Amino acid sequence: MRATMGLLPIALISLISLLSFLPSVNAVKGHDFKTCSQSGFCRRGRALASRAAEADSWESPYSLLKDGLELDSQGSTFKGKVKSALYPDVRFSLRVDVLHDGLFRIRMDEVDGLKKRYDEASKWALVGEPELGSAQWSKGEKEISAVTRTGGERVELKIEYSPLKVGMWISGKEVIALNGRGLLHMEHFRTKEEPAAESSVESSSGEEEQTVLEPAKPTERPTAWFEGAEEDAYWSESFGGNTDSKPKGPESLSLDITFPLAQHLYGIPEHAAPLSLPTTQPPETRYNEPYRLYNLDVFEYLPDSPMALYGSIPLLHAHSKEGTVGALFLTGAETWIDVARPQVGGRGMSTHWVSESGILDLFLLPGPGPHQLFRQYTALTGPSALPQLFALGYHQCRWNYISSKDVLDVNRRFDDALMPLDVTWLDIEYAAEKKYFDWDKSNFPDPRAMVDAVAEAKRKMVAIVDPHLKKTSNYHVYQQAQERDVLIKKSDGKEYEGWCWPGASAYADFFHPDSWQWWRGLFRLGDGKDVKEGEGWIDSTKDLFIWNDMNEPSVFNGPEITMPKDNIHHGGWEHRDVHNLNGMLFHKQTSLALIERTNPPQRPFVLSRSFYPGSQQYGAIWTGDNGGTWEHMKVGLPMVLTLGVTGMAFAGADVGGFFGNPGPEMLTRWYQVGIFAPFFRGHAHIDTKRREPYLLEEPYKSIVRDALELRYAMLPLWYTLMHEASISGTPATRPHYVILPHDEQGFAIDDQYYIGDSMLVKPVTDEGATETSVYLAEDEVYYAFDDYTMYRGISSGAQIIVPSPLEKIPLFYRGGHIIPLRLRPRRSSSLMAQDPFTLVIGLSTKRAAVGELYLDDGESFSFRKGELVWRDFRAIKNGKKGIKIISDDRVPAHPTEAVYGVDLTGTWDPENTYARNIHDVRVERVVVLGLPAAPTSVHAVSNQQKVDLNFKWIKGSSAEGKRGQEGPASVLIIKDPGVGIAKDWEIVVE
Amino acid sequence: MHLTATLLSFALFSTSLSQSSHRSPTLGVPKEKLSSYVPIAGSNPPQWRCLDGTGDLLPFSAVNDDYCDCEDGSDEPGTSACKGGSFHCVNEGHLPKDIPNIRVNDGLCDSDCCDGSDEAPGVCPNRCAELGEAYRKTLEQERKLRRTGSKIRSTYVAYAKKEKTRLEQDLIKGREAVDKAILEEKRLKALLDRAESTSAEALEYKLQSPLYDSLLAHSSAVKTLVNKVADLETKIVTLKSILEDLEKGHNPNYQDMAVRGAIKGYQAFLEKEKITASETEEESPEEAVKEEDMDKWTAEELKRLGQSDLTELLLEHEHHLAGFGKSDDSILFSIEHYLPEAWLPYYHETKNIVVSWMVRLGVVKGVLDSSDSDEVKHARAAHANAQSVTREAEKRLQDDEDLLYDLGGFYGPDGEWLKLKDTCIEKNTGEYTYSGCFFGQATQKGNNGGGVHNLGRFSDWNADAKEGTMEYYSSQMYEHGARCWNGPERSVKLVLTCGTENALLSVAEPEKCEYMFEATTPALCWPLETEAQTKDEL
Repeated sequence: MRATMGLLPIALISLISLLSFLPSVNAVKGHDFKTCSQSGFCRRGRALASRAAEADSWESPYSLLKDGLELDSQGSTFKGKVKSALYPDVRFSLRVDVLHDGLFRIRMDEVDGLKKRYDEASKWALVGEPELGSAQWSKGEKEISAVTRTGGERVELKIEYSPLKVGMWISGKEVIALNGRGLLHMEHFRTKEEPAAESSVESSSGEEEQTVLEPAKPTERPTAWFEGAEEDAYWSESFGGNTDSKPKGPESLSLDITFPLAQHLYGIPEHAAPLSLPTTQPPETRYNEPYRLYNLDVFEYLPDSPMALYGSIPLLHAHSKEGTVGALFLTGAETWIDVARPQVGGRGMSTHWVSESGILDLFLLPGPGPHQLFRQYTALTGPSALPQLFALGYHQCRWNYISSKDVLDVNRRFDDALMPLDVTWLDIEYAAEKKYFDWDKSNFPDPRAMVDAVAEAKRKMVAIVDPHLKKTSNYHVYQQAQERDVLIKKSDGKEYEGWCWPGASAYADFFHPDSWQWWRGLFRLGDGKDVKEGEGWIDSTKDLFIWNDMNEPSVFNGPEITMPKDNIHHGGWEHRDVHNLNGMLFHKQTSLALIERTNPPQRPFVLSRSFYPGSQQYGAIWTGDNGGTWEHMKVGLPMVLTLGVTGMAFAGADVGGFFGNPGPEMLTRWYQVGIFAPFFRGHAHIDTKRREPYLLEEPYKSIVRDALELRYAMLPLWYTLMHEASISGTPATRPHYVILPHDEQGFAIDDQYYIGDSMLVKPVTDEGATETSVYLAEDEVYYAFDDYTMYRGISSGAQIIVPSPLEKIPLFYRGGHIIPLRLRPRRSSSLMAQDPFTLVIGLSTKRAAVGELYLDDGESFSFRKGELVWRDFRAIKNGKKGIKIISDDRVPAHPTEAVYGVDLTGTWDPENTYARNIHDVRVERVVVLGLPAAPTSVHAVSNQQKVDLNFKWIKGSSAEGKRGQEGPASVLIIKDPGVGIAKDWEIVVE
Repeated sequence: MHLTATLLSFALFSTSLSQSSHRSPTLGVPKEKLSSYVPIAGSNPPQWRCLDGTGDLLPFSAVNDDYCDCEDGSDEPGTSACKGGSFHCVNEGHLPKDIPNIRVNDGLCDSDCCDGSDEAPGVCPNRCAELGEAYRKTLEQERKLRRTGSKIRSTYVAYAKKEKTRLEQDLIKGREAVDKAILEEKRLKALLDRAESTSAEALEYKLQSPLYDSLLAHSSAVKTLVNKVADLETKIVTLKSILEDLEKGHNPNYQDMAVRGAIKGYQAFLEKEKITASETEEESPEEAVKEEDMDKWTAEELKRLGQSDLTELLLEHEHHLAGFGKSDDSILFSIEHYLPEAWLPYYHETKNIVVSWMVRLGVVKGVLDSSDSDEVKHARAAHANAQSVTREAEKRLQDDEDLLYDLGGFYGPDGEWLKLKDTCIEKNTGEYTYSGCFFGQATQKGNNGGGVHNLGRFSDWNADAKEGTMEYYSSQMYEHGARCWNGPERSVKLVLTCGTENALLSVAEPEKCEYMFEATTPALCWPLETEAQTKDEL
């Protein structure tokens, strides 16, 4: 307890409002963070691009030497030598690997340079050495070409010698071009010359704290046409009072990547920006700054900006109605990306990447469609982890629930309000002096008892564990890290100290292999018994999960609120080389720790703020500290969609906004938004009023309860979709371009999206909205989920207007799909384990539908041994008016797709332990929408037995009806068909 | 979104398939509704209708068949099939209880349903005997506490009764005193009026004096300045405390040159202040005197000066002048003694001019009328005295009346809280000591130095509850404490339960600067209802 709750952030917020005279919620401290022109290498990169653009003629100085080309016998790996006309003595290597499924991996590095460029990003990001494929190579006068295939498509890579240019061609069309604009530049390591020629001047105003250079020398250096006349920020640079010593000098990497056919680009999270990336260069400059990838803790970020945020995934999807290709630019260093559409309204998107350090390690993904891209990316960086079922339920967080009593009170009040809840979260105040693992025992006297009490309703808890370690002798975690010498060092080799929540802190170096076992050991459960001092967590239980925050890393007194770039990690690498990887490594070890802490292991749940390719294997991420505004609510949708298509399937934005006090309408709408993100958590800053949903007045309270119940009713669908993501990387939340990849009008849509293939939602994010326009771009019917109103789409695109007062969500069953629901509200997701299912069948215009359902125990890894249930549902035409609904086991037909990396052929047992556990779980109801006529009879066939069924028929529109036949759909409700959810059966409607 | 509502609205018309049901149709039905869960008389096969009377007839087997047929959910009293219903647990041996039906068949043995009827047979043991016993024990302990507490409370009540009697008697005396004082005041007023009427004209004239005007102007200037100084001082204190908080609590996060600048500036300012203070000590004696002057003119002093009765001053001044030449203290007179002789003629000349000006201005003329003024002065003083006696008597009476009124409910149904007025309870939480004085103020004091923060003054009982109920007296609000920086004014909700001591048990801050105190007090140990009545519940 504090007199003023004299916490750091309060002082901070107050300060900001005091100094800026702005409401704190709307303020980002832009001047804390660099613009491109304040970052030396970005400035150099952009200057290079403008020189190229302004030049009458421009030719890349880089060329591939015809001598010394090597190709291995499988036609998998090609190696060559590259030289730059600027520096004929400097040598570069080019290596091209042909990967399985038509991918190409292109690497370029300096050979025998003064120093070594960082080349380990792939070691951390990739699941392993990518599987090699092979190609037909041919050598021409001007170029070398490699032909391989993906699916049925011919994929060709053409490498032109001089100037060096690489192009990927699919079915005779160039889809990706590298160095087509001649912006490739790998700054080689050099020695510092005439240090006196440069003076670092720090202006007192604090605004232009850049390295200011002396005027150009009278004799222009010969590389000036390309590199610029001046050595701009080569050897040190300052920003915000911090100086980066840059001991290695300039080593940036610039590359232009052009997508000649593309109409839209997606990806490169994390930015609070639309799904279809707005351009940052003329002719249609939407953002003046390039997209920046540099994991940062941005206080009160702007809801529409290319500024860097907490995580980085350097993956682009380039999409057109002909197909989708991808480019993954693996680097751990700070990277800026300019995006342009050179022909206004035409084809072709160009990008320009500038990274501060590291080798070129680029993967070209041929697609040719979004779904193939998801698979190709998953094969490289790993599958998204199948979460425990509870993790898809509702998470209630606040900075902070202040005591055990508070925690139990929150749980009780959810119960009293008949609102479901799965997880109660504890932010940093649970930890004594912010020494994570050490509970503040005055407020949490018996943590285990508290967690156990919460777990009585099969609920869980999450406590925060951040990567900064309080520097104090009475903190075992810090002491042990010091003893093991696994702390990040300063450039002088001494232990680095930065400021974070606990005050002076040290930071564990998860690049150091010695940190791994040690860190994982800290989470070992004592199970009430005393674990050896400092070698486990006595005050924890298997129901306590973890939140890894501040892992960018956030350093309050560091440059741009993070670590100095000249800090040193294991292996002698500078922080600048590995910065963007840092958060993932921490996340990974915590995730492994939770797997290891129980025997048999349970699936971990670890939420991280920072991320990188590969993070999807370790848990969920969220979009960080958003604000309680409609704008932030809106931008959360494209942010989550973008994360989904770049592999981070398990993501969400905090409901209500972290900062500020949302009014009841905003909060209600935000719940209606939040239930449609894979990760669904309400969170609030310590300065805000309490806003747990049970505190709402009517009618808001009931509307939010309905939203929560809808989320829980849809859990079977969400779980099935997370399973799909864990196999193929296809996200649960799917943008228009993924579902309808040929509908150009839908390519930029990011305010409505599909849940799987089967439901369409357009969350309302406008204050006072009473109706909403929804875009339906296929010749298919859609059924409003609550009253079964039928709407007809058209392949040329139709806008329909649907009512959307506060209590209504524009949510639709897509014709042709079968959706499994569990309609009985429970206190938590685990308590639904034995509840019956309702199948909603939205018939297509062809009187058919398909659907699937994946189930397992929802917590252990026994699914990897085939303890699961995976069902296929089909509705097919039966006679002139009827249908047949069929439930089949999906595993035999897809034995390699039930579990990632496991082939169940031969071992599959439909009567496995889990299947037996849900032996009695039945389908309690089947709802068929859009049948043409009242059935005369309905019967079920199960185990060769035929049973007549009760049903109810409501007249309405038929899905097969003509255009204009809309309004209430016909509804057939089959009562308690007596069929098991895990059983084979048929229901015949005649 | 009423997903299920739509589904529930359809009753079945086909009754060809009878669902096998292992449940009794009366499972989960409270006693008073049992009669509704029987087939319609004479129906064969047995039929039933939803309790809201809507929908088609259902086969009686549809009751508790784990499928929701009725829009009102009445066909599923014993399952979780219908949304929003409740389930009645008979709990023989313990208290019967209705639980939300979302808890039925969820695999958990609900503690409110100790007979285990909320789950399928065999899942949950019947724990009613055990839980009932424990409940009765707890209840008995609570009763004991209530009994002991209510004994203490009865002493509070006795005190209140005594006070009430005393007050009632005092009221009679008080009213008499007031009447008497008013009469006396009236009499003296008449005397004053008479005295004043004779001197009113003279006073009127005196008040036109420029000196008086000047006095008025000075006085008003002093008043304004005093207010201004006070205002500025408050602002300085506020700013200093903001800066102090900033310095102490500032987060190097998002470190900002402006913030650093502000803190450095503040530290420099403090340093400078310190130096100024120490320099002052070493200053030359002459300047130290000045400093003393500055010290003399404290806010209090200035305030007093600003509030002086100017008319009185004028008259005093006049009186003083009347003694001109007679008094050794006269400044004008005494000055002559100190002047060099050679200057005397000039002095006298000047003095004559001054005096003649005084006469011309009427200031000295007043000197001649001073005898009249004395009489008025006496009359005024006497009247003022009588007035204040009346006011005091009235105030005493009003206080007594107020207290008596408050004893009619504000201080509890039996006035028991009066005894606790200004009783303070305290809790040391390690870092801070919290204190709450009933009907007074709540404070927070840093145990390691640091000031005392006002957390608020008593404002109300539980405004959400009906006045006079136990709930109403179970919490007190303390509001308008010191404002949190960039936050609300501090406030305290003091939540009370029956206990044998007045004690502050816990302090929490669920929201920024909004505190929650939990305390016990015998004042809430209301006497138990008749024991038999409570036992009936079992």
